[in-house]
Amino acid sequence: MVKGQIKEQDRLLDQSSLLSIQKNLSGKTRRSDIALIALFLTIVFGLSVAFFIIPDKDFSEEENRVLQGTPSISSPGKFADRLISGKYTSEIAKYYADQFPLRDSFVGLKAAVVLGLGGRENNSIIVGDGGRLAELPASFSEETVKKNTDVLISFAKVAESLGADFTAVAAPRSADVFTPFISSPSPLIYTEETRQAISGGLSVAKYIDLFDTLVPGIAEGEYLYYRTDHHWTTLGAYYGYCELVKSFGITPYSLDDFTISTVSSEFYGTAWSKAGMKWISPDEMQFFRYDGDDLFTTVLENKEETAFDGFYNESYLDKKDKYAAFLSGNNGRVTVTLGYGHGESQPREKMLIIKDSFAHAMVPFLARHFDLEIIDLRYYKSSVSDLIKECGISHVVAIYNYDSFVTENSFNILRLSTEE
Amino acid sequence: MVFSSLEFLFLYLPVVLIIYFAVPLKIRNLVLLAVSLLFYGWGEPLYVFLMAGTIVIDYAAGYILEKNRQKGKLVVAVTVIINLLILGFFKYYDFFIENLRLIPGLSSLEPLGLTLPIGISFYTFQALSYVIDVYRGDARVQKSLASFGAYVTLFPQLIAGPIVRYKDVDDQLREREHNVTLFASGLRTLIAGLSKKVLLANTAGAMWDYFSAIPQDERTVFGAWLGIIFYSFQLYFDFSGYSDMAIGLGKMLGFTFLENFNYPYISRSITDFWRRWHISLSSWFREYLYIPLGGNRNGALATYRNLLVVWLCTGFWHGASWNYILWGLYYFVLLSLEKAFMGKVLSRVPRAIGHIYSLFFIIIGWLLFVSEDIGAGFIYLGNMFGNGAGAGLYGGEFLYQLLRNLPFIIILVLASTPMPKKIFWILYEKSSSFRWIGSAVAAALAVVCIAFLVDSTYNPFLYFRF
Repeated sequence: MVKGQIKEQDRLLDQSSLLSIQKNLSGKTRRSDIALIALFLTIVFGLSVAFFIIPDKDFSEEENRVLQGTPSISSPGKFADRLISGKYTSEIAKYYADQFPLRDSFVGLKAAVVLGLGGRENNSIIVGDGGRLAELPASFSEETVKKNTDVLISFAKVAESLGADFTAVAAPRSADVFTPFISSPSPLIYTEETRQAISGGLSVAKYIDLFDTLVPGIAEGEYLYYRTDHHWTTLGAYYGYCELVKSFGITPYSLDDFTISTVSSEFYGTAWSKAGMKWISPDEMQFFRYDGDDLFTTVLENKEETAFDGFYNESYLDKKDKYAAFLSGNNGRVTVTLGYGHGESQPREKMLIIKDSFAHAMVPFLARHFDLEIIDLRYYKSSVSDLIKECGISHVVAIYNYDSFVTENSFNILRLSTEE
Repeated sequence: MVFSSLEFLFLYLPVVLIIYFAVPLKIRNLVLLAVSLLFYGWGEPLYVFLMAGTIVIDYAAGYILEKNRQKGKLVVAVTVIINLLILGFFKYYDFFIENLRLIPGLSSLEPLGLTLPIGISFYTFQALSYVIDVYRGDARVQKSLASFGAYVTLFPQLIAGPIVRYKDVDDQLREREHNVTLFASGLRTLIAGLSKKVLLANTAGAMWDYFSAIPQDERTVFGAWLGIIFYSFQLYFDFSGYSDMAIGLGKMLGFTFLENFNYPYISRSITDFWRRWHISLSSWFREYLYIPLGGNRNGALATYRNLLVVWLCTGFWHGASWNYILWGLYYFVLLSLEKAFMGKVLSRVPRAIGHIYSLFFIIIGWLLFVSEDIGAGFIYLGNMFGNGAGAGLYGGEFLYQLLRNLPFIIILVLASTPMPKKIFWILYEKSSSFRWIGSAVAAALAVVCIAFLVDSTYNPFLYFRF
């Protein structure tokens, strides 16, 4: 066996690293080596020091999220618990990632490398023709869709038992509508599976799938979805509104009935933030205004109540998340009413909207026909049937995009039990 | 803590480098022990005490061995048993309980649900090699607890190897050289390892996750193959990347560790593969298990029995789960076949056939290795051969992933061969301007790695089960 071991050593000696060590021991110090060490230490120490010097940011406009601050080490007892559970060290890791110097540039560099190597996606955002960004669905599970549609069906039953009708509206995701701009071969998007699973799950209810309403226009270049955000544009939402009210036998307002104004040309949406592709140009955002739309009162009920006139919170137009200008972003419950004495001879019909954020851009249109109660099941914790009763709701409408259907628990299944 | 993290590179490493090179040579081992305990305690604030216990036990064993040569065998036996009991308890207790529960009447047994101390399989084997080397007279007793502690805990190889045998670093613990050339060489290895892990392994791993998550009725035959091939790349570049980072960091601190991987995917046989894959583990098992069992000296039957024991242990070492045992048995069968006759056949057939044969069985082996749910593994295996892959031979999504990853796949393939390193050294020797370019490229690679780490959503540590 001694012989075998010698053979083993020979083989290892053969490897270039050992060769290089031999060289090292006999060789002279090379200036290129000094340069490498200097470069590396400059990078490592430079960034380490910069990390400490540069003040922490609380919020990333670029990514639209709260950043991790210095993990606290006060109160020794709690600190020990957090250390042992690994919470403290994972906070440190997050703290470093969030507050890292030149973070945005590094994120952009990574995207550039990934796309430079011939890829078309980064961080599961695919880039299509014309800088259209779309988030790729991670996978598809019929079960999840079924669970979600079951929640809506149970709301449909609650609504009907209280004398209100129920309509579900689903809008496709960017990835579904941008397929004409994603050159072949394309990744799995599961559009057909998703559509079938949703319509199958909602077959006993009134259901409007907006796929065929929106896709032909988008294929022809109509600006119905933001290129850099996962939402539809105001025009896209307008088409959604038309389909919905037509199903009630109401003639929708025509485009001529609105004054279309571009309120921002600097809208960098969520997909843009995630993709890291800094070279993609921003979106434009439009409001479809009409006479008297500032006479509406919007009441947001979250932790506290706030009210404002009209539907828009224009302060968001100066921030990164401009889509939140519609209805001030996500809130548990929003009430939109037309104040008394504004030309309405009789009380208007009331609609309850159960929704994700896709509904926000539709609200200014629907409010022309109905007084609205809008709830987000993720945040609204009270009983929906009580709400229907108290407010005298005649239409219940669920407005979601496909993503909510394929995502686990976006309808807050747990609270269903409290409903029945 | 793992090397491929920002807090390691920009908090731990700079602090350690400053302290290590600021203190006098005499106390550098003590400093190494202190910072290594910190490194380990960062991720395992409680188990660091367990590791300290192991250090004290094995240090004491070495001490007793020297004083008490005639009772050496007993001391070694007791130490080995204690070490293996600790490893067994923390790593395998629940596995045995879970399996015993299946026996009627024993279903009331409760698993403990302890998390596995990171790196316990690596440092236990290292500590054992010390006691055995000293017993065999292959190494001197280490009188300094600080130096012995530094050997066991040495942060570069603490949590994912290579498993450094005591006799290989005995001298270096007493005296080692630090110079610019060594430090630069270590840096290059560190950056190469970091790039393997962050740029290659993580990206390949995300692709494996993608393909394995595709529901069976959407899966294609080619997609299944591409998926497991990506996993094979992930495992190799992840593991050898960690080893490179360990070797590089070691070199920066003045240690020379033996290589742990030697281009395993260019193997011409499975025997060849196991000389090239995780070398420190297979040589540990050979030296401390196979040879003590008698190796191949007691006839064919005993040789195969010894091989069986070694490969069951090798499989089980990788994790407390049946698939690892199965994986070990799989290699026992393949290696036995090669020992019996396949080896001779392989030496006569064209090289290409040897490569294809080896890669085929290595890849199937990895599927077994990655499938803790053995049933799901066999379904996937079926999909690879057309059985139950709901979406046919290939689809648009397979082509999409293939095309978008093509340059990356070429890089993966090239990086699996010795060619890039060979070319690097030839140019490095011949051209001074290349040496400058090489330094610039290494620094640029480090920057790209940082970018990938800053934007990382996927950066797994694969060795929690080891």
